[in-house]
Amino acid sequence: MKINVDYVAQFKDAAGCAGETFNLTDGAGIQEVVRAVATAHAGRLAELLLDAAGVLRSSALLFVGDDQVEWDEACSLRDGATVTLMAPLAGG
Amino acid sequence: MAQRVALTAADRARYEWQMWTPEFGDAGQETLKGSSVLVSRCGGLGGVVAYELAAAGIGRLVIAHAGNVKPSDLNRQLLMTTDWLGKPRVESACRRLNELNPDITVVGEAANITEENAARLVGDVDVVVSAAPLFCERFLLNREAVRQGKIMVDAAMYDTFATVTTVVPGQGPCLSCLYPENPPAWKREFPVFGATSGTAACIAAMEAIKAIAGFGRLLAGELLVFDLANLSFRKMKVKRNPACPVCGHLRG
Ligand SMILES: [Zn+2]
Repeated sequence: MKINVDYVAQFKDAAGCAGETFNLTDGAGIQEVVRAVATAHAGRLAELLLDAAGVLRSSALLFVGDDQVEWDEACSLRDGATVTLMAPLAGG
Repeated sequence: MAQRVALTAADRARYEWQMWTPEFGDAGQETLKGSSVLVSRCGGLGGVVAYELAAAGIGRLVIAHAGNVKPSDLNRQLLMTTDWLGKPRVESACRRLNELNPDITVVGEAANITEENAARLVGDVDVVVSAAPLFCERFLLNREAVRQGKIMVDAAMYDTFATVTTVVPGQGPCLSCLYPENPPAWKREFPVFGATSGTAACIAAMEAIKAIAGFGRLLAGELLVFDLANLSFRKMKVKRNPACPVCGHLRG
């Protein structure tokens, strides 16, 4: 299935694009999406997203559609869903 | 919360056009006149928040910001003027706010939010606006606002992106629910156009006005995320963290 991924703030800089589409196996959850992103962007973006143990850093926000989801939340995504990865921002 | 204060003829002449908003009216203006707001930092974002709140007739504005005006402030910090380079930011801010509206009280605090001043500054006002460029200052303000049960509007930006949310203690996530730890990759210097920080600021100012006057719907439990590069505006539903050390004890 196809999952659209949007990048917000520093994640956009690190990805080098505002968003892209990933092909994942049906029934994939949020962790599979983030891991696919980290594999495709093995440098800075992977480092910003995941810690050494491969767990999402606590300050990154995840959304499916317009709803926040937790890293360890069981959710199976639908084909065509949009996942937004948001880096924390505090510019004033 | 704010007490209503009677309007003078001069007030009515100044605020007439906003008093035409039906849900706001005379009562809304009287409430703004009796209210006070703290703005944490008066840079590209907080400065425009303060300017809009001064224009709207908030009775008392407290502006907290340390340091002097630098050339690199002037692309976005609209309360800073070229003739004030090298001089204290809060002086420039207070002068500009009072030039716009001499009928309100503006208090300048030449300091950023710290452990030492947070309780006093938050205790002195009805609503707080969080616009500092560092998470540590935002977290301090958030903790103190939640502790004192005060509404905090948080607005932040990076490049063409910005977020706005309104923390209503116990009714939606606080800033520490969203970001449980100090994000290690955040740096004090970031790409910014004044038009982006100013857009976030105008939305934040409207949240503060609505919170005080009690109309419309606040961004409680919602995070507005927008990107002026592609003009996407999205309201994300965000969640409280039941284990949040700042607000987890409050009942929803
Ligand atoms: Zn919280």
